[in-house]
Amino acid sequence: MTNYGMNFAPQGGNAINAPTYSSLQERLQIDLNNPAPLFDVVTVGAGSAFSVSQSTVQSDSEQLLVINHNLGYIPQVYVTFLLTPNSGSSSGANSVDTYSLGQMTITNNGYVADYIGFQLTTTTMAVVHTVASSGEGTGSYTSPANEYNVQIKYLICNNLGIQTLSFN
Amino acid sequence: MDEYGAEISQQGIPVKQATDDQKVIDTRWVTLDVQNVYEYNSIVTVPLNDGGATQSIVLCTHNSGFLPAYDYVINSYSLSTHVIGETFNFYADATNIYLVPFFEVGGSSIVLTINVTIRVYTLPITQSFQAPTVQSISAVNETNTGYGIEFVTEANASPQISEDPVGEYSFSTRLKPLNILQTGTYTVNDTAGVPNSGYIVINYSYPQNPLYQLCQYYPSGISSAALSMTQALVGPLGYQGAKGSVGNGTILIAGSGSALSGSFAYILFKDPIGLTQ
Repeated sequence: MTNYGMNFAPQGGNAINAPTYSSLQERLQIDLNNPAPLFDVVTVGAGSAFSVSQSTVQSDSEQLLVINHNLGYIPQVYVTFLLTPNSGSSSGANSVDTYSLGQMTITNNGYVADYIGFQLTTTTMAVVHTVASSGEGTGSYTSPANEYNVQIKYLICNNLGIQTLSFN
Repeated sequence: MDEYGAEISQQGIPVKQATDDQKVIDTRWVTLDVQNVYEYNSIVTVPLNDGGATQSIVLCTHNSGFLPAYDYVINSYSLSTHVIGETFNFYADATNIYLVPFFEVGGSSIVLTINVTIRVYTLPITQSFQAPTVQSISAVNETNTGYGIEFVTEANASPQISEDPVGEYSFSTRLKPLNILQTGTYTVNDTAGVPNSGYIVINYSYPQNPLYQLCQYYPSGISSAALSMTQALVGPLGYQGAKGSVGNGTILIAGSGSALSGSFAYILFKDPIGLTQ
């Protein structure tokens, strides 16, 4: 930490002991000039119609979007998803207009989890569609992902990641 | 609101006309500032108990004097005996962050070895805050600023402008902070026949749809057969048991897989760059 910086006092207050703003304070923030867009809204297809056996432990996944942030560390990110039916949709599209932070569940019937989430490395953030079967069900499951588009709104912070906003 | 401070707008936008999303810094903003990052690395012995959690483990002492926003990551853990259904819950009071492990098997005890990183913010998340209304102007082509200020750290006497800002600068207007629009709490009171009573309902006044973060809030603490913590507590940010919708000045958050119940604290962020949903 540096001893250099600037403080702003609250009106009528003390800039040293109780600043209203201090440049010394670490805060969550985003680099506006990174060559890769560290913040954006992107709409892509929600994925393929993966078909899995519900009586077999099985997982299929595919990358829908890759952002090369090249920060050199795993960053803190905020990702939200909005699922909307595409022109070929024939389903009830019951997830329309839901806005989900961290992960968008397409289906979770207790035996199969069909969801869109994200994976982070020190150089990339990938949005991934996954269909995973626990092997405890019967019959087969086919993902309706190909009937949807997903709007991905993301912020990649210039802070070390600590919170994993995904759940399984 | 203070009349003193500094504002820097994005390039091409007059600072006096700039909305919050068109500025890179306004020293009047309330941002998600980090109080400290704590590491916990220890070995503890935890009784096994079918009746609920049995003990709380102090992970760190933050001494904020209020219920803070915080998040965590479990870097690693191991158990001396294989069990099914281990659960790790995190709570904060005004002084400490606690880990409450629960192993759903009766009998003897288990040795838990765990490494956790906790980031505590300076934000009192259960207190109500509403940022001042920002002026709204017609859309301006937003470009990142080539002007601004940066402060280097003592660790790097001669950083280059192209260097990764993390660690090299304590302040840089190339970096735009996450700007808080609103904080508060909401208690779900699901009542038959009352629309939206099973939802978290957050009303906001802002020209764009804000991002949100949730945590659970326990005004009267928690209790089980073998553990009682009667002080007010909050869970970590990133509460994920919900799906929500955002738009037209209202956020509705429903349960995911089961109905919501209890109290929650929330943060709404102004989009740092004017993203629209």
